[in-house]
Amino acid sequence: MFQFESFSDFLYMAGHGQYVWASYFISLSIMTLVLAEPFFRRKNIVKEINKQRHYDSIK
Amino acid sequence: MWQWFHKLGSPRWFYQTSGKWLPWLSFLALVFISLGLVWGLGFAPQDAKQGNSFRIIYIHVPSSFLALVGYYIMAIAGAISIIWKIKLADMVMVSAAPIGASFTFIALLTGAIWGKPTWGTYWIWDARITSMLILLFLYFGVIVLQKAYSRQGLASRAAAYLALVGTVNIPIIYKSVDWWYTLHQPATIKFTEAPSMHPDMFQPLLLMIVGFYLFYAAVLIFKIRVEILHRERRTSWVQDYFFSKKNK
Amino acid sequence: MTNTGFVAIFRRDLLLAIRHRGDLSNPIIFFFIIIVLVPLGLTPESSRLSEIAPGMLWIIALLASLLSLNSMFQDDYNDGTLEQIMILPQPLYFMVLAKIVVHWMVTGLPLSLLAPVFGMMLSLPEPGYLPLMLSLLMGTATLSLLGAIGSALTLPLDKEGLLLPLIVMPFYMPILIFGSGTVQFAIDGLSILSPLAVMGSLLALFLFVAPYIAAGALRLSVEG
Repeated sequence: MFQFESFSDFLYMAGHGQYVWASYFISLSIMTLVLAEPFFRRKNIVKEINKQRHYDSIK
Repeated sequence: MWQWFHKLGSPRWFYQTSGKWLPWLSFLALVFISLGLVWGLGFAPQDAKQGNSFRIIYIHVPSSFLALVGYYIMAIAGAISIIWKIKLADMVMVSAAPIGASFTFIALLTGAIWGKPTWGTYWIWDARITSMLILLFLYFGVIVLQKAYSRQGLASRAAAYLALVGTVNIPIIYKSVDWWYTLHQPATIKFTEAPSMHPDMFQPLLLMIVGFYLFYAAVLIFKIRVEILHRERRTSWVQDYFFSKKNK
Repeated sequence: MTNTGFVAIFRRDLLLAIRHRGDLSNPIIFFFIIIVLVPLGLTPESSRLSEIAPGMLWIIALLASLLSLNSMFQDDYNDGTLEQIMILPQPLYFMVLAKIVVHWMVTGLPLSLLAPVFGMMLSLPEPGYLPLMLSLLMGTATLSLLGAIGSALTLPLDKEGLLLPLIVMPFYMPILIFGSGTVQFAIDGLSILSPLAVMGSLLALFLFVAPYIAAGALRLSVEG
């Protein structure tokens, strides 16, 4: 069952909250960045491909 | 038989096949990690000695596993690309490197943060942390070497050689750091990994480990797909793929 | 088992090294200069120096080895000799091994032989001297072998200053651990057989493996 009395208890975690939440936040942020990078890269590739097609079709 | 093997190495085949599985893989990863997070953060009992900071284990342990496994995946892919000259293996290696390095960093970071409430200090030169730091350097070496070469073919081969040497050396490094640490070990501290875990503590950990592996696989496949698009951007199948997408 | 490729490259490289006699003293001068930094930066007190001496001596040896790695292949690569060597029918393994051996004879070997002098400058305790020489002899050889791999991998990347150290350092670390451990064991009165045996096995392992990998990396760099 839920280990904490209230939500603020959950955040505070008997004094250890800053460590736990900092770890989770930073780690999950890094993982999100790792996940997001290919999205951006793909967008750039698609842009480049379309630009190239545009130039090719003009010729 | 070889035909099948070489088909396996075709980037286009990989792209088309992985596209079907990737959504499911990602969904599963999300489910496992979310469940594990909620369970570990809110419902697992706290540790008798370490209190709530123990909960960091749910990120620290899975990342440590992936840090090490990720290196081997990278190195094996590199070996395959050198030995059988399969380009796809090359792309796997290149994609796996930054993911593994990120997990190594996360493992070190969470380990350090965990250290503060547990032993009073953020950094401690014990065997595990020191080995993990060296592993990070090994990753950096492969990544930096690869980026230093301007030609892709050379870059990947050099990086693959380096990754292989790293593979031979990892057991040596870990053993030597272990030996070194037992010589100098201060009497008090031994790196705590939650000594004997109650099943209520262990189950969310299992969820997170599985979830992280799934996440790794999903991100790796995603990165490989993008790498394929990049390298094959001038081929007709890629061009047609995007052309037809655009005109839908 | 005289391998003509080995002998030929060995003689050539050694001759070249002797002709550039000035360069031969570089590792040794470097060692002296860094050794001066230690008491200047830390303390001139004998007792404190002797505590850190084993480790410091080994660290400086490591750095000296690292900084000298360029000489192994770079010159031959730059003037095209390396390509010529690689076209020869002899197995590249032996020719690379010859280069490594000469490199060691010119860097690690002199350092190891002069170790007692350096040890004295850092107040190395009496029992440490012989183990220091032994560990350095074996260790610097292993460092040359490992360094050859890194050197071969970064050959075309002439401008990248710290790339080679970054790549090679993690592999150097176990050598450092066991090398300084050997010296420390002796000082503490323990038998040096086990760390020395490890040093020996590492040397044997890389004696076998490193020239192969370095040769592969050289082919990569040269053929492009």
